[in-house]
Amino acid sequence: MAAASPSVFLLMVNGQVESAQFPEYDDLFCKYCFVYGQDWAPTAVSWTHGPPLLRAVVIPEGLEEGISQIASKSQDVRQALVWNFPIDVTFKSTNPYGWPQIVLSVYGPDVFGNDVVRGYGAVHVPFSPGRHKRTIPMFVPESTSTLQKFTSWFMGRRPEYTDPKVVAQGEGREVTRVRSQGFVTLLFNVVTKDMKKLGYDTGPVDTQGVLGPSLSQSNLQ
Amino acid sequence: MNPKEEKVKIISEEFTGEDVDAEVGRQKKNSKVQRQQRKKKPPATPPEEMVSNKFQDGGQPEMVEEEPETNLLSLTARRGPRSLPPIPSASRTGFAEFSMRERMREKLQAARSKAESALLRDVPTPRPQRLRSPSERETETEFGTEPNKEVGGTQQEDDSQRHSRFKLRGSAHKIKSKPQPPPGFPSAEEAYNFFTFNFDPEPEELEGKTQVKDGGRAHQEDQEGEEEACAQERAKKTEEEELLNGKDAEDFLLGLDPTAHDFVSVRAAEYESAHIRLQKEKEILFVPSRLTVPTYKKLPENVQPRFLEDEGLYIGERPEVPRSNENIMENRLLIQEPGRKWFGDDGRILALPSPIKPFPSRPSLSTQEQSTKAELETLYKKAVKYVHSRQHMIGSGDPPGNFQLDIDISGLIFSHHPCFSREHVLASKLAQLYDQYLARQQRNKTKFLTDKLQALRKAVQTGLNPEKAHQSLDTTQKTINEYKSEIRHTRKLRDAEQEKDRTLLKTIIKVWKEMKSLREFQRFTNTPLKLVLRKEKVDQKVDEDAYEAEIQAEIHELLEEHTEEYTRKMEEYRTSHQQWKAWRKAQRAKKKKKKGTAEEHPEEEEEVVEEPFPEEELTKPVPPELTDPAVIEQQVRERVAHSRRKPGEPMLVPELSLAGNVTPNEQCPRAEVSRREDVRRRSVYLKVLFNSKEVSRTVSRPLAADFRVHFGQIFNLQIFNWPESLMLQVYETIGHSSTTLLAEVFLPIPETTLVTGRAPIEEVEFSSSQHVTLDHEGVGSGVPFSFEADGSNQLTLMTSGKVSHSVAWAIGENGIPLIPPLSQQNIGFRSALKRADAISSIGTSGLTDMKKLAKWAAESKLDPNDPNNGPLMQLISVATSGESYVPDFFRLEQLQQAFNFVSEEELNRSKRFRLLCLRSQEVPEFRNYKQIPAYDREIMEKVFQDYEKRLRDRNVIETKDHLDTHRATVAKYLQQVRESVVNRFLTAKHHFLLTDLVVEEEVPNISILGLSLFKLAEQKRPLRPRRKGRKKVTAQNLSDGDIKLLVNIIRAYDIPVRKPVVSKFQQPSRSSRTFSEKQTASPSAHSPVHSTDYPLGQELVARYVSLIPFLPDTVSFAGICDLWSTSDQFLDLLAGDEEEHAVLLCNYFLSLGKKAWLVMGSAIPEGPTAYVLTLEKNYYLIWNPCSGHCYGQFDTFCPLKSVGCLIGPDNIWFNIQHHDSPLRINFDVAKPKLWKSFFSRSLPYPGLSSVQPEELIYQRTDKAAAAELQDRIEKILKEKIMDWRPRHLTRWNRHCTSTLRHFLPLLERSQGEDIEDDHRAELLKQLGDYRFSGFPLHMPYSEVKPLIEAVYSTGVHNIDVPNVEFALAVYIHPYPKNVLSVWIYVASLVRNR
Repeated sequence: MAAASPSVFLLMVNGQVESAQFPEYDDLFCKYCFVYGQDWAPTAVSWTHGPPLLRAVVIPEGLEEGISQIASKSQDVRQALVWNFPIDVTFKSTNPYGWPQIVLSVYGPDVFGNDVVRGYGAVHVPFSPGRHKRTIPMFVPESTSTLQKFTSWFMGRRPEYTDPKVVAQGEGREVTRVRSQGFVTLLFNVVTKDMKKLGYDTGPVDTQGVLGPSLSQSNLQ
Repeated sequence: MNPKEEKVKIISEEFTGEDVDAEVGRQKKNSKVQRQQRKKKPPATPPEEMVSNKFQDGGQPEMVEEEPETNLLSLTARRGPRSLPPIPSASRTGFAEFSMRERMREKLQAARSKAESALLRDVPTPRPQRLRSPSERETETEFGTEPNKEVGGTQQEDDSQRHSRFKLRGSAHKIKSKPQPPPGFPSAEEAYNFFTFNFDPEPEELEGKTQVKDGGRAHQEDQEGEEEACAQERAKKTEEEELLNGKDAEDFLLGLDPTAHDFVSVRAAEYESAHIRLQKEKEILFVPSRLTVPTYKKLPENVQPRFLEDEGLYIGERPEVPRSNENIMENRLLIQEPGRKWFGDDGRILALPSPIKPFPSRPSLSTQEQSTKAELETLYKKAVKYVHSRQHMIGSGDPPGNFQLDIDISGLIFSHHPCFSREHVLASKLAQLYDQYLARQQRNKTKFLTDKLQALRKAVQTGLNPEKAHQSLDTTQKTINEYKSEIRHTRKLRDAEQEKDRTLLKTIIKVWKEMKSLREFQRFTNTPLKLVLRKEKVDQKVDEDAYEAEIQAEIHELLEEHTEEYTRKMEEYRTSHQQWKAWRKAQRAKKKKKKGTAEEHPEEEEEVVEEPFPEEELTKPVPPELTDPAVIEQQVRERVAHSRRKPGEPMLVPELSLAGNVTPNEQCPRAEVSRREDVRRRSVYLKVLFNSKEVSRTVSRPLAADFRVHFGQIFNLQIFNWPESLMLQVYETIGHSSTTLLAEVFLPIPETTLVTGRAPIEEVEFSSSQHVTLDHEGVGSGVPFSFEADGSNQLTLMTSGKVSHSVAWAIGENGIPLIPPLSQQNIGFRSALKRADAISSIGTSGLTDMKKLAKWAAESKLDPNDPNNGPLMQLISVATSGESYVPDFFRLEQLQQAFNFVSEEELNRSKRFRLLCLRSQEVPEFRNYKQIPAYDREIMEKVFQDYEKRLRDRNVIETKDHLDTHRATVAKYLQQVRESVVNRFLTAKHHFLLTDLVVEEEVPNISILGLSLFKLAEQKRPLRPRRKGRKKVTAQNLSDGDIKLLVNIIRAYDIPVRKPVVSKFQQPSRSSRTFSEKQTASPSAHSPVHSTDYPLGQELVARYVSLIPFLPDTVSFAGICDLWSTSDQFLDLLAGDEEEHAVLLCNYFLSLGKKAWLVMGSAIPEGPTAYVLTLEKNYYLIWNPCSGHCYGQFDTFCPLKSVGCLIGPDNIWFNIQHHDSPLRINFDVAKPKLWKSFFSRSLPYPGLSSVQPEELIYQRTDKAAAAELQDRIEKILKEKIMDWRPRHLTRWNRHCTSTLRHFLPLLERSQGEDIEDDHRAELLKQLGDYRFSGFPLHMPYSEVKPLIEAVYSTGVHNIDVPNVEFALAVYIHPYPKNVLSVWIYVASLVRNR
């Protein structure tokens, strides 16, 4: 990897699923996973050069998926659901095509106590290195008819995607109808390696300016 | 001091403070220091002094400063009761300036707004009563509390009121006096006294109050009189202003510091007389005049105004500005900007065209307020069908009405056709000439011109007649001259026309003669044409007279003309002659002079110098000759004789009729007959093309013998767009062969005024460039032919003809013509046209004719600068100049080139790009290719090898793996089927249904609802949960590594176990058992029916069927579908799964005459499968079609575990018994309680025909090929075994091999049964000294790979005992239809020591 001309570039993402705004719901937990193209692979993070204690620790694929704790709303005006659930994954790739997306799905109990889905959402991992904050609008599929809506409510089996990963792709979405539900705020710290050597320039010209985009990101919020 | 007094004091202090503040506001003159002084100083002044001052009634003021104060006080005391005209604002003249007042007023405004209402109320109330005692004052202050300022405010008001009264009463003397600093601050008591003292007479007070107002007004008037400059401001004064005055007075009383006198000097008020002021104003101010500025001022000197509009240039409409405003502006600009850049050439202010549209661009809102909501309401409008926008489209705002164009095609006449005979050629010529003649006759131009000529002559004669009153000789002369020239012109025209008439007549006669001679020559007639010349007798005498008179008149005129000419020429001659004479004279004089002066000069020299010059200058003019009348007469007569009918000659009127007879076929020569037949074979039809698209076509009509085709069809074209072109295509069909396009005819698009019913039938000519040579009498087309016998005088005629048609706009039901409307308000080129009114001037058809349009534009002198005409001008310039380059190709993405990173070749060369492309196309080899390298160089060439090989081999049949052409072909075919199915599914994979994406509960019905309601009461976590069926994952959604197979073995029977005893290994006892996978069940477990009555035929058939290779559909089309092929397909493919085997077997049984059914059920290990059931004499047999084994119904080892339905040749029965295990059910399908039939009485068997072929055809399998295959397989297997033992020597025991080879056919014959003992004995005999262990394998043959795998799975090759020897024999038994039974015997031998 230290060769003059690398054959892959690395994308290291850490951060967290910070919080969510779901005005109507409480006691939610979230699940995340990554969707990426065929040229991408989560790489082994091996600490062979690390301290002796960590040397044995091999996290094979980073935290490629995760389920958070159940969070209740804060008691203040914000009514934020805070998870602070960490994300830490490293990808290697030969091709920016199929850039990783994080797919979030949020679940929580309905009035009868059944866990139902409260939102799906996806966003690309930011391209440029630095600190980025993203707020993803979440949505859920709608029932196909009012009767089904009622029964699904009644039986606690809301319509769900067969695979949450469909929200990261466009294919087949035309057959679904969704309703928006709330927002989830994510924080990413992105580090890339060898992107430029492979001819992909994503970030600011100098690494000093990394602060720039993160500031502008936060301004956007 | 008592408390009350104290309070009063405080209040009064506040007063002063407030006053001081107010004063600060007003009096800018006083600095802060001064104010401070004042604030501090008042208490410093001794009160006694103040008091004494105050109480000096009428005393002379010691100090100037104190004077007003004392005066005031004394006056108030004295004059209080009197009603003096007070001048309250006297002080104003003293120190209040205009701006000051302004500021004061502003300040007051704020205070007033707060207290105004109270004040107004308070004013009329008698104030003094309240002010009489400090206690009252106190209460008032208490009431007027709230914030401090507020208090101050009210107090101020009060004070001002009060003081105004003081001042009103006592300031009579104060006029024009400077404000004086008030005396020292009084103590509370003094103040109290002071106030009470002032106001003791109560009723007077009231009176004084009224006087205040009067006085105020009076005073105002005074002021007006005095101060004219301030007149306007005064006029605006209100009560508040009085208040102001009061304030001023108050200032005098209290606000001013006694020490202020140090800074103040008294002087007379400055007054500026109005006159001076006006003058000053004149200097500063500029009032622009409203008068019109003369143009010369606005233009540079000596420049005439230029009016562009008059020059024909477009000037936009100027925005409307009142003339006076414009004048003012102009005046202003002239003063300000000496440069005249603001003015245009015409002397007016430059202005852009008015941007204001004449109509509102926003929909008008109704004025009613309550309807605003209604305005905001949305309206439902039905979606309007999209109309293609095209250049000639009707504006999009139009209702896309259906417009209709009616095209009436009545017929077609060929003026030349390849099948024309010579006579036809002449006949058509004659007909044309006759038509021409008729047309000329109808117009009768000759007659018209003759009449005109006569009229002109008459006019000339009358004009020349002097009897008429001479108005003016000049004019008559002029008109006569004009007439004469007209006569000349007309005569020429008439002569030409006459000549034409005559030649036409002559030609007609000539052609007719030719035709007659041709008819005679060929001895038959082809056309019914007949020309009759009718002679009209004329009166010889009259005719001759007229003729002569005409000639005479003409001669006369010509003579006159010539005379005129002569005189004119004479005139010319004379003048030129005279000139010449004069010149000659001058010349001579010159010569003389020269001779006189320079005689010494040689003559030659002189001539060289002079002569050439004058000689060329002028030649002697020749006098014109008078023409001879005789010559003229001669000319005229000649011409007339040539072009005119001779006098007395009868008038010839040709009449063409179709009265002639056509010679019937029998009397014609063969060539002619074949020509006529050819004509009969031909038929013609027309295609109607609208905007180059075929919209309809006529019926095909045969060509008549006279080459006319009658169609008489009307086509109604329903159109949306404005027609761009209308075209007819003429097609000719000869017999039943192909049709040829003869010609294309463009029809003009009708004027909008032309509607159906009024359109005349018009004829359009067409001609074709085709070359046709015919082998009969027909003259052909585009081929030279001749009428002469010797072939001279050749003639080449092209196929041509006329289509008679009419095109018109249809009329709708309500009588409205269905024409695309012209009243468009929309943008685009049509609307531009509309504004310019082009349509009305050139008609709608002009729109499609650019030249016409351009001509019209040129004629109507369109202003090219007018933006309204922009699109039109552009269109015309494009159309006429052809400047716009129209490429003859169409480029879909014209910007593509800019986006090409690299050239196409380079892109194709890139391996990475190729790999990415192939992956995105989901080519099987690359479908799940991970991590395509970042660089080309990292991509191995071999990545593509497989793919390229597959592409190459697509049509090449590879026999390597199969060793058998038939199977190779089949495999290839299967491969292709598989590929196409997979491809289809890959595309289908990208079509999603809702269920593919969203998991949702089914639409509930009552039972589900009830059930779920019931479920609510159920335990959440039951103790023994029932397994829920998982959702099926379709195979196409799977990718590598997604499949995990979980095998759960519950129980097992009769598992073949290799004996663990090593010693027994020497004996080839059980190990010799045939290890066919199908024989999982032990033979001993077979049912007793295995015995005698077991028919051999069935066994054989079952064996044959089982030998056909098994290929489950799930392998071919993984998880996609289940295919049932017919038996012949199955036999051809030699591959199929349970269904095909079962169907074939069942069919064999049926054809053997047995009762047989197909059993659909599930078995172990197949799962859902198909078996065959046969009815023997009194029991049923269940056949496994894939293995060929049969089981009795009550065989516990029967792999069939459940029966769902039975399928017979004519019905299907469903198992409705309680059990489904074949052990426990009754197979008697006749019992309706046990078996529910598909076809029953309610739905009888409709007698469906079978999809299976009637019979199957079997080919004999080539035995030699089988033997060859056998050898090859043996060789391959041996090689494989050697390969699998790379570290060891592999020896082959030939003896053993040959023994086995002999043994295998026996196995085949006995079908692997019942030979165990024989076999063992045989082996023992042959190979007594070897430890032998081996496996005979039996398989249907499909390809080599499974054989290799089977051999490998025996594990024989794994022996690593030294000295081990191997034996391998292969036997292939061919069955018909290329079904091969393969036996392999593989064994290892270890020599016993």
